[in-house]
Amino acid sequence: MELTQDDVIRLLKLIDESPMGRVRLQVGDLTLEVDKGTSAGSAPAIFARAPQPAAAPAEAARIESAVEPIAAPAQPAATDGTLLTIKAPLLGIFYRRSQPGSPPYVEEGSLVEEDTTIALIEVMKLFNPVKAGVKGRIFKICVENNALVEYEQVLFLVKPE
Amino acid sequence: MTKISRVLVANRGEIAVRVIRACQALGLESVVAVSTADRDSLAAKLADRTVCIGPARALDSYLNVGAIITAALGTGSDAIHPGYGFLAEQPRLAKACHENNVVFIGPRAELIEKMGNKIVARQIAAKLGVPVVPGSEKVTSVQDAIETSLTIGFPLLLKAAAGGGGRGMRIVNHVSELAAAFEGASGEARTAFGDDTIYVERYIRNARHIEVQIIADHFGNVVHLGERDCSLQRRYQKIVEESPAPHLESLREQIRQAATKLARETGYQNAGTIEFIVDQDANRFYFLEMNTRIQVEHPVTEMITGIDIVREQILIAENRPLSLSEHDVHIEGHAIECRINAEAPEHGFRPSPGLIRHWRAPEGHGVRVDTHCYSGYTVPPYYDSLIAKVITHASTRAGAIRKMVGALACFGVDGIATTIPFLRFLINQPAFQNGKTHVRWIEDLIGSNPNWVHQLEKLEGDGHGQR
Repeated sequence: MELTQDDVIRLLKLIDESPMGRVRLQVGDLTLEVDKGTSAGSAPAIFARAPQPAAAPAEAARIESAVEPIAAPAQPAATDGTLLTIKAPLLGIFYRRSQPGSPPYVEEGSLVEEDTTIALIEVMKLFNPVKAGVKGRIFKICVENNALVEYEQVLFLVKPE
Repeated sequence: MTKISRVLVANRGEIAVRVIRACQALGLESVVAVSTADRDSLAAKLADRTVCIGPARALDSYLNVGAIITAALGTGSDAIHPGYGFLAEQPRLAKACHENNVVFIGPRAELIEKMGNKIVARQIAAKLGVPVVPGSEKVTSVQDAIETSLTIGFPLLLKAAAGGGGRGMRIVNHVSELAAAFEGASGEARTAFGDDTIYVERYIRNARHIEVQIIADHFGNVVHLGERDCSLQRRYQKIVEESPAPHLESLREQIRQAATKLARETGYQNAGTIEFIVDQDANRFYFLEMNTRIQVEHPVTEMITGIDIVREQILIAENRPLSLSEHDVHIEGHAIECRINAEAPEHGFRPSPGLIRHWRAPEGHGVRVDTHCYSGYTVPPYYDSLIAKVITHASTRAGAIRKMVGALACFGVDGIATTIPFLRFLINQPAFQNGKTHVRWIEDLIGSNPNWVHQLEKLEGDGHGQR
């Protein structure tokens, strides 16, 4: 069984909405570890180890989870890819650009700093800029333009640099 | 007619579940707006869709008009039901609905504003010839209050014009207490409601709280669904309600008619409740205030009339004429409701949030439980402590009481403290069983009786399924 990037995004969303603080998912050669982090300052960390190029036989997915959140966020391992999530700070309509016709704030692969505006969220005609909050490269844009995003919904995955 | 297909439920707890059930009965889709603390709520499990509108803090979620409206628009909901509390009586939600073409399941914003201001509501009632509690317009200073007290006399009540739930209220027994009470009441009102306007009313000692349930469509049709007696209160929070009100013979019809007249003449729409104070010594009734929303205690009215009030709210909001007239309303038997809170009565009613390890609610003919709780549910600490309402209905008041005694005795809640033992204690009192109570009765009972907690423990020992 192979998981696509979209599968991973969907899994992240499910994990995000669950009460679990730490999840380790193994599907064939893919291991996904999510640690939500506890305090406001700590960023949630996700480890994804990609499957080997050769197709592996289908295996049942195993999910190990701990209900207690871990006190300290896990440290990124040197060889693993680490992705951070950027979540919606409020509910509203998600816009990728400052106005129709302008180029989008970011694309997948764009470099961002803590202060970079990466999207807008509109609530009743009030447009709220969303800042990256982290230095890195946009790995995945998880929401479509004009979509309703909920509070704390995952908007972007960022590879920190 | 404006067909509603999908309703955004902008509330939480048991009333969110209640509204979702009414939607299901009408074949409507429901979307529930939740804070992060309510993602696992029963309402979230029952609704067709859940939208997280903000963090636990009510100001950022359940009181967040922008988030609620945007959630409705973004989910294609045609209507919003505000429940009770939170934004239900804030004209700004009703206004924002109107501006964004979303149906507000409740009265027009202008009615909410008018009737929500207690001074304005009193003036309207007085103009219509409905008796009001002897009192004043707003008093802007201690001096003003002192002058007013010369006409009204003591004891008197200082009340917040923008208020409710007992906040911004002070009983004053003597003119020497007036200055401090005035500062206290206006300060509290400013903090709680953003408006420190105070008015004065005569304080009626031997009073009962009698309220009338109204439903009205957008075409001027108004029907009352009988009255409720909500005299059993503690710190201005209702604990036990019943319908019809016992021992109200000579005033019952007058009160019902006064309420209907007020609703009709103000062009009231949707569901509402008009509250009165009955002075038992003088055998007189007075208009107190109007609540422009569905109330917590609406189930007692539903049990005696067989009418689904939330369903009627939705149909009215669709611009349909009322499907019933006063002739069609038949009041049968007697219903009693006990509100159960996550509080420890033996520790000053201290809030008791936390994990409910086991939940076993009573059932049976004429027994109804409205709740959002279940085994394994964690009651969050951020909101009010109401966890369930037990309602019993029988053909007589005595029968309804017997059913309530049985229902409370087998209501099992493990893991948190509840007020179930306290309710059993209250229902057991002869004064309650004889229907001879008043709005200060509970406070007098526990105030004068230092051993009341021990009496709770004795009752608990006889009960089944407690802890």
